[in-house]
Amino acid sequence: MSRMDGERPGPYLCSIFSFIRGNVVFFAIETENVVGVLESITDVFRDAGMSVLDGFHSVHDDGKMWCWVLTVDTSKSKKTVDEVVDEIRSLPHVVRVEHGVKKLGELLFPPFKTSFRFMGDRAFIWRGEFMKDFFRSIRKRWGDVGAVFMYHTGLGVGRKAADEYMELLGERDLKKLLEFNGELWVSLGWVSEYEADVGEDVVVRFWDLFECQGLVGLAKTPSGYFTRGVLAGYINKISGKNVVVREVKCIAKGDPYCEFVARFEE
Amino acid sequence: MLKRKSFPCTLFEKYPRNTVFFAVETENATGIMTKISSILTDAGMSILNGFHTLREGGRKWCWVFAVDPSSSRKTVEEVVESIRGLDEVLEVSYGSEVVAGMTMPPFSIDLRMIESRAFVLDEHSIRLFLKSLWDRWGSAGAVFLYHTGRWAGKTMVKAWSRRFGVTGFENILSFTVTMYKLSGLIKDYELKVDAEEAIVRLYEYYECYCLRGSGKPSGYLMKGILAGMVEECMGVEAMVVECMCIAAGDPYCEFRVKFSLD
Repeated sequence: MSRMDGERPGPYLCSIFSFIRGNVVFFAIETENVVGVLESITDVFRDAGMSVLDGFHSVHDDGKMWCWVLTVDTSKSKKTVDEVVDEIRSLPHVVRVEHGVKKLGELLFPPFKTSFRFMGDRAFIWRGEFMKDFFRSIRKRWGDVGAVFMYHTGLGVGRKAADEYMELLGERDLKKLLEFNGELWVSLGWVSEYEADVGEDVVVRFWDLFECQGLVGLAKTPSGYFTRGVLAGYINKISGKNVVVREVKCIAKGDPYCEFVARFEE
Repeated sequence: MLKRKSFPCTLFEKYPRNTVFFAVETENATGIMTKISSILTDAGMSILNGFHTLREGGRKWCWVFAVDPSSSRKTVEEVVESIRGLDEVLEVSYGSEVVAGMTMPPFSIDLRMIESRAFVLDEHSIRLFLKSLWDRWGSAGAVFLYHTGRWAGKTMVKAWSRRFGVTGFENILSFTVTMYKLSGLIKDYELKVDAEEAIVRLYEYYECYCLRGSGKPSGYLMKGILAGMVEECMGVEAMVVECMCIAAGDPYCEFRVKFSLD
C-alpha cells in the first residue's frame, strides 16, 4: 500500500564530495572490473597507513571497467603519496591513476574530472543550497506569477513523463506508475520517502520534497506548485480523466510531509 | 580544454534483479575497507557501484554499495555474518526489493554534497522541464529563467561570501564554475576577466546540453546568474550575451559579460 509501511532502515549517509580540510589527497583510479581489485588497492592504502575517507565507485563500459574516486587522509602515512600511487599503478588490472589536490578558498577540490551518470543518462548535482536559492528566487521575484509558471510547467512535465513511463514499463496501472515515479524521485534524492494511495481520490505524500524544503519557515501556504502540476499532468494522462490536485499539507508551512490530493472531475 | 578524460561515476542504474545492496556502518579505522572487501572477494562477490562516507565528525564510517552475487561461493547471509563479525563493524543492512520493476536498496540513503543535501538532476528530467517551459511559455519562459537566475546569482554571492569567505566578482566566478564542475553541471571552463568585461566559456553546460539540437542559444538561467553576480559584487547593471551555445551547435557556450551598459 505504501512505502512507509515497511519503514526502510537508514538513512545511510552517501556523500559525493565533502568539505575537506587537512592532509587530504584525492585519488581517481580506473581498473578492469574483476573481483578483488578493490581489496588490492585498499591493501596499499592500509600498508601505507593512509585512511580512506569519502568516495564513490562504479562500474562502466558494460561492466568491463570499474572506477573509484576517493579522498585519503595522509596525516599518519608511512609512505609518500607518490610511492603509494606507484604501487597502485603496478597492481594487476589497474588502468589509470590520477591524484592531487586543488585549493580554492577554504575548499579542497580534486584536480581531475568526474562525470556523473544516472540510469544511463548524464547526471548533474544541485546542492541543497542552490535548489533553495532557485525556488526562493522564483517566489521572491515572481510571487504568485511564479507559482502559475511552475504549476503549468510541471503539468507539461507530468504529461510527458507519463507517456514515457507507460511506454517504458508497458504499464497503465495508476498506482504502479505512481510508485515507479516515487522510487525514481527517492533514488534521485528529490524526496526521502513517499506514499501513494489510489482510491476514490488519489493521495500522494512526499517526505522532504525538494521543491518545498528550501521554503521551510518562509511560507504560510503550501508551496509545491511544480510538483502539484507534475502530479496533475501525470494522473490526467494515465487515467484519461480530468483531475484537480490540491496540496493539503506542506513542509514549507510546518507540516511533517507534503500531501497532495487528486480528485477526479465528473 | 576537455583534453583530460573524466572518471565516470554512476549514481544509480537499472540493476539486475539478483543485485544485493549493503549498508555497512563501522568505526573509522584504517584498514576496515580492506577487511570488508576481503570478505566479499573470498565469497567471489563483485562490488559494483557505491559510496563511502565519514560521519559524526570522523568517528564513524559508512559504506553503501551494490554487489553482484551471481558467481558467489557463499550465501549473502554467510557474507553478512562474516562482516558483522568484524570488531569495527557497528551495523549491517542488506537486501533488495523490486518496486514497479526497479531493483532498489531496502534501506534509505541521504545523498549529500559539501555539507548540503544533494539532488540528482538527470539529463532526461532537465530536458523535460526545459521543454515543458518552452512549449508552455515560449519566450516568456526565457524571461522567467533569466530573472530567476538573476535573483539566484545575487543570493549565491551572499552565500559564498558568508559560508566560504569568497568575495569579489572574479573570485566568486572562479568559485562558482569550480563548484559547477565538481557537480557535473559543466565539464570544464575557461575564464577571462578584465576591467570592462568577463568572458565565461563553459563546456557541456547542463542547461544548454539538455537542449542540444534546438538551434538557438539557450542559457537563460546562466545569463541571469552572471548578471545577478555582477550586480551584487559591483553594484552595476550587467549586460550578458550568450554568443556561442552548444544548443545552437557550437562546441561550447560562451557568455560575454559587460560590466556597464555605458
